[in-house]
Amino acid sequence: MNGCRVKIKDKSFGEMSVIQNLEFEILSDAFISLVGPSGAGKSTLLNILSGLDAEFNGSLEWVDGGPGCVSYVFQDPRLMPWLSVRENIELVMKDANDDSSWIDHLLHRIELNERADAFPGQLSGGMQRRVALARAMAIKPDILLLDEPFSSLDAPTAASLRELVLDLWRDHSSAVVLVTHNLNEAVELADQILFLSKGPASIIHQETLNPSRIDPDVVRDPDNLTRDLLNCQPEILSGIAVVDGRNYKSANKR
Amino acid sequence: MLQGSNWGRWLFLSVFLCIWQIAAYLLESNQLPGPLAVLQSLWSHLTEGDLLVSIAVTLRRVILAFTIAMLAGILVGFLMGRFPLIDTILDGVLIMGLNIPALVVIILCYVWFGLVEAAAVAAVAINKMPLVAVTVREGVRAIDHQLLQVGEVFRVPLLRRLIHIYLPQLYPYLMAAARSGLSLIWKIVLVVELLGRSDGVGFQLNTFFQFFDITSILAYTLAFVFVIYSIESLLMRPLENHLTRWRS
Repeated sequence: MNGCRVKIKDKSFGEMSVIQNLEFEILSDAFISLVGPSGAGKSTLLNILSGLDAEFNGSLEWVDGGPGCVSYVFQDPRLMPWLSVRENIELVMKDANDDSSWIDHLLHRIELNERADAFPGQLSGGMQRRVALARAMAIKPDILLLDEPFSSLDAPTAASLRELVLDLWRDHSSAVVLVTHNLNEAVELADQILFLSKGPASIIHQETLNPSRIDPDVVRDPDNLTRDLLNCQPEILSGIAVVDGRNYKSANKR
Repeated sequence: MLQGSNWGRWLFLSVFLCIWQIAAYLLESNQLPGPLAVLQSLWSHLTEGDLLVSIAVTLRRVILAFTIAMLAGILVGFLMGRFPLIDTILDGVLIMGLNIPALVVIILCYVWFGLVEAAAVAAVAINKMPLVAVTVREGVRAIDHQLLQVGEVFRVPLLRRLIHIYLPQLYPYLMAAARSGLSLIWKIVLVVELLGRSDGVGFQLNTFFQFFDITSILAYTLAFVFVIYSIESLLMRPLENHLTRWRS
């Protein structure tokens, strides 16, 4: 996949417009974070990107003709409770028999290879999220959509899941679109942040965190960036969660 | 805990049998034979009479009517739960079906189609079908659409979606419909046989009734209850346990 250009002129539910004049491009190896307050239409946008919602005025233009393969990690894991961990992953694959080594690899990566036969109800919340992530990666997507996958997790579990997301992104050539209302999360993970206005959603600010793609000499420190944003652009951060005093692992994610 | 509940069950059964035997002994009436007399009668019908043949004939009708009622009920219930328009159209018919007495349906089937096997099975199936449809409709309405979205996003093929996403959500409802269906159907089958067939447990009960042979009536009832209980405990319950093993 060479990318997808998202052009949404309008998305409404009845009289209420949720998204208006929203345009951005998803490059093939981008890690984009969409940050906006609750109710900004972030999940609606992911539903459009995933193909769940086709009723909008606009287009998704795939550079190579597409449509590309899109997978989705929902806000809650949405695993089938009656299927084992392995069966949940197999469910979405075209031919699970041929790809059993790929499933083994994923199970190993999420460190659940020894719990492959467990049912989701026997796993912790963090483990279930990891399975949902493995399921999403199982189809080797062109674009991986993440809808606040770290919310409602305790801090250490969320941190290890973020680490896993970054690892998988580094290893597999998928573009990632992460939706969050937490600026720290966006800064830690993404190399491009799009700030959305409170509904109807449109992009009010863009920030490139890892400009080394454009200029290898420039690397911005995420701590400073968060501080800059807090100091200089308070209006765009209204309603966006920021936790002070966070230590970020690295400015260079890749 | 389990052992405790089994112990209680056996104690209750023993006390019940003792009271029955004492009452029969004190009354000394043909109208209330004791449990021992019933067991003796059961043994003689089993070895010398045609108890097994009657049970086989009735069981065949039960299985046929059960299968038809379940398949038709699942189809109608699924369509009604899934498509509001079909629900609106069929809701009135369904309520009517739920409330028409079983006896009326049986009589009408015999009058319209004659005293034939097909009419007997159809009468039973028609009686049970609305209950299955209502149960399945509620099941379809309760389906978690968020899980369906998983199938949609990942483009899971339709058949796999049906087997692994739709059906497991309907299992509790299907099992409830099947278990209640089995207990209801065999009772209706006996009435159908009593009214218009010349074989089966219902027909035999009618014959015993003509002779006021209460002992044989109770012996036949006991035998058939045992068969249904065996189906329930050897087939239905293990099946349900298997399908819901992920809950444990």
